[in-house]
Amino acid sequence: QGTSVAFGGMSQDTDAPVEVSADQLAVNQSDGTALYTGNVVIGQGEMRLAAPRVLIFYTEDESRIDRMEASGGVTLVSGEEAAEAERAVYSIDAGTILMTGNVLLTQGSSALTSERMIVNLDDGTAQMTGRVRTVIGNSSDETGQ
Amino acid sequence: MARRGDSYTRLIGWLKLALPLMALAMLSTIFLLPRRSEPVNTLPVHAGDTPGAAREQIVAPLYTGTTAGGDRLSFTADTVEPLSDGLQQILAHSLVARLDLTDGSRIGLRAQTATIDDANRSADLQGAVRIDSSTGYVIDTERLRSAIDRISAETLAPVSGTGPAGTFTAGKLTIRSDETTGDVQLLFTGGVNLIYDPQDP
Repeated sequence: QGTSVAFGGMSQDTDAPVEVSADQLAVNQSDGTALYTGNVVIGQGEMRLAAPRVLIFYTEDESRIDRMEASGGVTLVSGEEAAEAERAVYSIDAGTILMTGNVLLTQGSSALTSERMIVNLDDGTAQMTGRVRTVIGNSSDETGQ
Repeated sequence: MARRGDSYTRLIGWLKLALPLMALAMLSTIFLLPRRSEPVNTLPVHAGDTPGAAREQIVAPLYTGTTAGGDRLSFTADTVEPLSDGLQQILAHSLVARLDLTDGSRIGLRAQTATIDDANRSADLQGAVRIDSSTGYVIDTERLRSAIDRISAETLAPVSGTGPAGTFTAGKLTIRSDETTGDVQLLFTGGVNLIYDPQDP
């Protein structure tokens, strides 16, 4: 069973430019993989995805970025909401972010936890699946951002 | 009166003998006299080192070498001229270098000038340095120092360029081969910023 929640409030233009900033980028010459490390922040419109490591995957013809895989503890912020998880896969063309591993979504004073969450940036919704639990905290500072 | 006539005739007789002898003597020593123009010391000999005249240049040289790991390095230039005596240091103009790596990929280097120092096996590329890699990266910088006997280079200036997708800037680029795996890596450090536009990658 999954829980749909609003995420990021308004829909977002997933064709907007994507910016990635990091301390370091290592490109492997033989297979062309690009690994960003150190305070990596991926941004598009209102969305910010921060992680210590992000690996870039290109499409077959190597002309577009297919997806970005963030790992090592990921924080996703969009508008008012924030979500944390162990890993996240951001598919740019699809406009989705799949977060997996101890997902914690905080919305104002309440928080939801689950195993997986798919955020759809197009329409600003998120779908949480896998042991979804809601924590309604009375004091917002305890669970809020 | 005859006696005076007699000595006069004797004088003329001696003169008729002495004068031709003197003439002969003078004629025979004429070659000893220095001539006005000495042909030997007025040859147009070039003295002193006027610039440009004495530098020799090698045109379109080609240098190829193989690193210990088996990667092939070759570079050519428009002109090359020795900086110091002997060929320890040479200055190459509009250098084009190429690294053919054992894993089949390729890195191209290009620069306006390059000082190649044979002693410490390094080349110092300057001026519109462009690094293009077969992984789709084209990187521009102002200065790059590279070893010439192994895969190791680092830029001495910030870099900007385009990747397979997106354009980026970085503080520095280091090209090195991983000791364990032997894979060659382009390492951008000093803060990297990539901008990828999904509409025109």
